[in-house]
Amino acid sequence: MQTITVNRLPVPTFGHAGVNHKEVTLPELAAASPVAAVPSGVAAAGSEGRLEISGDSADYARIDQTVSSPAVSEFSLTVPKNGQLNTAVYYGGCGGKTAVTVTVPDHGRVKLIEVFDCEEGQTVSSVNAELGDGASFELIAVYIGSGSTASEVKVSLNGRGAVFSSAIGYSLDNSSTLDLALTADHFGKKSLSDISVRGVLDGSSRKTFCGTIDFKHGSAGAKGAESEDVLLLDERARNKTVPLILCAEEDVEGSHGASVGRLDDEQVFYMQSRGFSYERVYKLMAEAKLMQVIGRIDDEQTYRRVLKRIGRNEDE
Amino acid sequence: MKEKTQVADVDRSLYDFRYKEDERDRLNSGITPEIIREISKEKNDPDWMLEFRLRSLDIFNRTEMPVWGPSIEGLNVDNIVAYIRPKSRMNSDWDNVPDDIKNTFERLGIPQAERESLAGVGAQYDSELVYHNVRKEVAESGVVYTDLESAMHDERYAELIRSHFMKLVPPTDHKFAALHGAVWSGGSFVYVPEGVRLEIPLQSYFRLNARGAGQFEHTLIIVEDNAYLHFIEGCSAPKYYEAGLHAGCVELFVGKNSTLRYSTIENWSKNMYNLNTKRAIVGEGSKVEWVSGSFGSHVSYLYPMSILNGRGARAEFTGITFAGEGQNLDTGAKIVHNAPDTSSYINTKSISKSGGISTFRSSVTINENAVGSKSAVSCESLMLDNISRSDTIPVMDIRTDKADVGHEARIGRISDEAVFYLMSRGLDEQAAKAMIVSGFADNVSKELPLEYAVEMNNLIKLEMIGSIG
Repeated sequence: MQTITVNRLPVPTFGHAGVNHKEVTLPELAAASPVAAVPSGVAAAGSEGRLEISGDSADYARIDQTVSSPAVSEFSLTVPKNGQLNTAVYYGGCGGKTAVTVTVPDHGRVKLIEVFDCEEGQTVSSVNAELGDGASFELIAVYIGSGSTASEVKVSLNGRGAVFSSAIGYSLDNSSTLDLALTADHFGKKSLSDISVRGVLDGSSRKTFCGTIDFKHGSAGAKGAESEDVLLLDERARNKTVPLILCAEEDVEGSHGASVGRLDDEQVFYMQSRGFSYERVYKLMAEAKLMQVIGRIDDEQTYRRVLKRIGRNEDE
Repeated sequence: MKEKTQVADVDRSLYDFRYKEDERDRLNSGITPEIIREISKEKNDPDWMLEFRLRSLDIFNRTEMPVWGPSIEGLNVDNIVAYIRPKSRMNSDWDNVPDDIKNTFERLGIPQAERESLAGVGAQYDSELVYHNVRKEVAESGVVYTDLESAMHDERYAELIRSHFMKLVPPTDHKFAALHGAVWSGGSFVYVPEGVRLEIPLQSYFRLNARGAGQFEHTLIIVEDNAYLHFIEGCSAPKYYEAGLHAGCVELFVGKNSTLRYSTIENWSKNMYNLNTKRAIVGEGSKVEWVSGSFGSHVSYLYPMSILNGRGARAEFTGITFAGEGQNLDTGAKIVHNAPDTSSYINTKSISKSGGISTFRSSVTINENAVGSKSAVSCESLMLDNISRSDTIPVMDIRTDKADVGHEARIGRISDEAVFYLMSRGLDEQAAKAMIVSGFADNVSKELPLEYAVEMNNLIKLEMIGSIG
């Protein structure tokens, strides 16, 4: 067993809030053997839990990391200048530790879909991305597992006009936990970031989301926005939201909006007037919240797999 | 291409004046059991208070410095003089106050404010209150407004003080709460009886004249059921090269169906470490309203906390922070929803210029029992140049599914279009920006009595001089 500290808040705050960092304990980890399927124009190479994916294609490279015992893996995604790389990773089974490194040179485009569907145990994941001039990185992450997950995403918008957008969705129940820390560091002028988080907490689940937009000195013209929408379905569920905006540059625009709690009474009343029971209204709205993120998965195979996993008919 | 304008530095002579001190009035610097005993003896503390002070000192010595927030490395508590003997005993007649102290408060406009718009005034000079007065009709309504030491020695209030003093902010809360418990001196005690609505405000003004000293006043306010009070707190100090320390403590107890408004215009000099703790506990159907303007200090840690402890209790925090050159002001609010159907609203604005650092930090906790509660947090930050810094660090901890919490934050600069529009109407660039910043601060100024709103706007104008560049 090993205990590691993850998800350090870029600027610590009140100790009593318990959000400055997260300590997780992991069992002994073996090197994973992920299954990768890559399209034409993309290469996958590596061994002993390491996989390097590089190339230029609009089609998706798919990695399936469903493990029967906790495992460790590292992926690196590299795209040429002006190139495009789309990758979908599915984490299932028993969790472990995973790290994804993304390098997007000038005017390159990378899209990463991560689905966390571990049934048990502790999962620790990280994504580190570096973006050049005019580069773009899109992250779609869906958390639907029943274990405990700590995820850290750090994106450096180094180049002028670099763009980062993320859509994160989660549906937690029973005693599952999610600790999510996402940081967008704006170094480049006129860089853009957009962080959107949608989720549902049921049972005695716990979630902490720390989202940081950091406008570094020199990032003139940069814009960053983050929003979070959390629906709580059980009195035992617990939510922490920590949206940071750090700013060392005058000519920037940063914004954050969060909504945590119940559905709007009028919304519920309207649905009830249409014949839906109170419980059904909440179930529908919870599904709708998650579907806002799942609907952005444009890899057909991954999309269908997620729908099947959450018990939703594709035609619904 | 943008045209740059250079303007002379700020004239702070209104606040930045001082009178010579008598070295014999100062206790030795440092925080030791001997110093604590000496302070306690000077103040003729009851036994329980001496024990409390010594226990607090022990906690202070065992408690670590905060590991978050602005650096306080420049503050050496061993160099701070914790207590300055008063030049005169407390007076209720202004004519009996020593001339230099009287001149100080005259220049700050305190007696004039009392005559024109206040129900009572307290004035603290260094470690002790030198003047306290309350209008006759206010005293006749049963309102008690006096210095805390007098109340502690008055058998009518002694037990009330003992049962409330540092019960909301215990010395174990943090290192500087413990320091306060050990060396506190001065401050006000206010008691508003049931059913009394005091429509005109009370004010305490705290002035730290001595160099290298600390001010540790304690404000204790008890508002009984169905009552109303507006309390105003002002503070300033002249600038010295040595660091000064303000580690005051404010404890507010609000009964049922009452309202307490607590307004502060803080304008400590820019060598001060303002490590102040303010906390309110609010009963059923009651409301606490904080109005806070932070303009002074070298470093500030200030987060008034509201504990909403009765059904339907409410808290509102309206604040503005203006951080200029050499300032690192870390301000915000904390709310704990601890009863059903409680609500809170935090609305803050911050402005950073000339290398100043402004941080908004908040914490909203909705406990399991606070079903049906609502909270909204709104913070806006304005950056006036690219050598300053502005951070927003809120935390929301929601422990029930039956609550609504909203949060919004924005950060940006003065819109070029707005400046252009005002300049097209005949204002120069500096006046246009000053007007926009005054408008930005409007949420606070409109919550203050007129004369304090004027003072705040004057402070903003002072701070804005030289901001274009």
